[in-house]
Amino acid sequence: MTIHPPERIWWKPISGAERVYIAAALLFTLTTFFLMPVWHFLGAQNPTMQTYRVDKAEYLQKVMAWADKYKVGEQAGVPVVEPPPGGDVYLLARTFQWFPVLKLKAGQTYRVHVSSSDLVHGFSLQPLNMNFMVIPGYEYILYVTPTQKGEFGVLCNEFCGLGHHLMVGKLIVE
Amino acid sequence: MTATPGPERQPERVPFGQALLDDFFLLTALGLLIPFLSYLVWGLLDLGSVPVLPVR
Amino acid sequence: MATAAVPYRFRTCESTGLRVHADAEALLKVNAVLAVVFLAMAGTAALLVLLTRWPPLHLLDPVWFYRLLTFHGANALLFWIIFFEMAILYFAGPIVLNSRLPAPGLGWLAAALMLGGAALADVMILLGQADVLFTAYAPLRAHPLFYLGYILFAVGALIVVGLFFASLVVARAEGAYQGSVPLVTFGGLTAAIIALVTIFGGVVTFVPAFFWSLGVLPNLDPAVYRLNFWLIGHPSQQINVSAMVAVWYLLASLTVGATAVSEKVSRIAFTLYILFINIASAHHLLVDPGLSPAWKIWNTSYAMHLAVLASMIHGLSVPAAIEVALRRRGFDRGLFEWLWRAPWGNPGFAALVLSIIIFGVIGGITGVVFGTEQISIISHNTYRIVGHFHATVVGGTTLAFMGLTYYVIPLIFRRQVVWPGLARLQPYLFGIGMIIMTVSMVMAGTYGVPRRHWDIDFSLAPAGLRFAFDAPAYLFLTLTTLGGILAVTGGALYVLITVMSVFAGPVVERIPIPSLGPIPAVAGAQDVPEAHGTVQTRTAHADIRGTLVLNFLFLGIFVVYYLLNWKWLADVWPVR
Repeated sequence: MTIHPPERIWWKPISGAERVYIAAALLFTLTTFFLMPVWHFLGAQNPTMQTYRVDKAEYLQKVMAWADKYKVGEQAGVPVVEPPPGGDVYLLARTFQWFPVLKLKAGQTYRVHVSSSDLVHGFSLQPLNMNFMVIPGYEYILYVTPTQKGEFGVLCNEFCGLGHHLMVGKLIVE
Repeated sequence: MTATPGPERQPERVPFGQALLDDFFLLTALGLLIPFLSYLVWGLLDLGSVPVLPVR
Repeated sequence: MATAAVPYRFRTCESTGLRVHADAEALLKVNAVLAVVFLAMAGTAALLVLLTRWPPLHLLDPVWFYRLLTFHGANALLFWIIFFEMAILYFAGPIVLNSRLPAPGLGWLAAALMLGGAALADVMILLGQADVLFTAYAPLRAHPLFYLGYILFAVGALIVVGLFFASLVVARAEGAYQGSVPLVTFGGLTAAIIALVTIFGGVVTFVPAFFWSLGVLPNLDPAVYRLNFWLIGHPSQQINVSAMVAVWYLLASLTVGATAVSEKVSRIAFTLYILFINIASAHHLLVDPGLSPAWKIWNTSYAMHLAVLASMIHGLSVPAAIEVALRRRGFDRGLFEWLWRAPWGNPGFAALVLSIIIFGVIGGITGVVFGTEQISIISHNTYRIVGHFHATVVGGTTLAFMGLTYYVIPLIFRRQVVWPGLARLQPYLFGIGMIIMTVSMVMAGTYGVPRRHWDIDFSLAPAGLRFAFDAPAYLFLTLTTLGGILAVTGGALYVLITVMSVFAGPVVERIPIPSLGPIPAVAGAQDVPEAHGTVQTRTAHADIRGTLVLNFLFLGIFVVYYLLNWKWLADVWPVR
């Protein structure tokens, strides 16, 4: 039994039946490993990002200034910003708001800068279900290509305080 | 652990693989070293090498 | 061999033949009892949180939701499960080795530290001084005494792990065993080594956090905190995996007299855990900035998925051992007679099998899939993750520990399990509830439902910005609630049966080991199902055809779900 010491020599050949399954499992697990670097080079969706250190307050200023420059409207008190197609986009996460509301063009690849001016947040684009962490002090750039038109929700899915569930924004693609 | 009667016989040597897995200090050392290097040190190096945003 | 001036007190277990050191047994009992106390608290919080996340009921206000969610995380993921694992180490070390526990006084100190630390952290949480969730991600800051509570708990656990290693050394030096340690001890060793990694992670995370909360350290880098935290956060769950697998082998022996089909295979699998299981903490950081894709891919893969292979090996070895044992008892007809005629009325056996299935099929598959670097994009921080880890930690580890309890009660506490009818039902209630709950959670998360969230209707957010989830999300949240209620009922039953048995159950001197039939069997009475054939003697080739079929079926499900997720990923926007 498993609570008794084994035979003196237990390092013995493995039975054929076990070998068959272990070989199949090994083949599967190696495949699932190698698919990751393969997709990294050949696939369209990767969490690669370009990251920079940034001062939280400076990032806040930067986003505000940029939003002012390209503002085209307002929604529930939050500016709606339409940047030049294929250009830089800035998104700020802070308790308890996503700033600003973005208006993008389908088929264009944008350099989306994301950061937070206070705590760790979770960027969650719905209903696409695309999720990334947002960490204060780190500005990172995602190269994103919206391929569908419509209105999308931007939720926060990392606990950021007692108003965490108030954090919801919008992303519009035309 | 049975005594085999008859002529003197060298007990079969424990295979190398078995001896390795019996060495719990070795296992402990590797079990600590591998995550320390592969996860923590490498991770800290990555985070430490994040460049400051270039001033435009 | 040295003769001690004061003889160590041992008793010989009449059921297993093991020589049990009185001090080791006493400490095992205390840790087991404390474990169940913390489980009861964690389960109560679970129910309240569950009923809050069901939109029609929305039971708690936001403050108490996040507070009790913090409480639930700490008590379930750390306190319940680690206390039980300390009990397992006392068993797998000195007791299985028929040896003594050196320096038992340290064991009592450790228990006091763990209890004090847990109580301190819990009080701070309930007082609202740590509304940070169990992860406490900086810059979220809790009261210094919260971090101190975690630290004291970790120090206590470290002492017990040290005592485990010491007992191995003592047992070998004093000739209590020869050659290799039993498989259950090797599993315990795996858990103990991983516990060392965990505690190291705790030190690098919570000691700086403690000083930061006191104002001594000016700031904590949030990305570094996350990296450090997951060196305690996930390895603590890998202690669970290793301990659970050790318990699988143990329960297989206790219930049907199983022995490992290949010690070599099982031990290599445990060794792969020791070497590689902890690096996959990286899977929490796959969509974080700053960490390189190379780091992410290598570490999340458990080193080319070798530690995943290890789990798949145990998923073969444990059922294979059971199959061989039952076939040898005469249940040898066809592929699955051994399975149909297995002792399903024995709650230890039922828990064992349900644990394997839930951990493997739901927990393991979702774990590898969501831990794939790119697939994290469509999983991270959604309810999919919550479904995954409830399948592994609750449906897997907690259920296995519940099954073991039905043996701890007669073997260690020397009591008969009360209300045998309810005891038989308990693992099924808990297990089936968990299956419904975890699958529903994964489905809800697939529709985007976030974790750690008080209100997916965003009713307090500005009207123009609210997002509306599709109807299936709500359906799956309802199913989550139903499954969860079933599971909580099963959990409450477990606590009730355990407490009643330990304090008021009839005394029992020995039980049949292996049980083969349902337990709790009264001494002397056997209710073993009749085998049609004769009991076979050890055959040269173990017949494991039934297990092979089941495992290839599992592999098939794995392949399908895995490929489906790549398809879903390919459907979202290009992002790099």
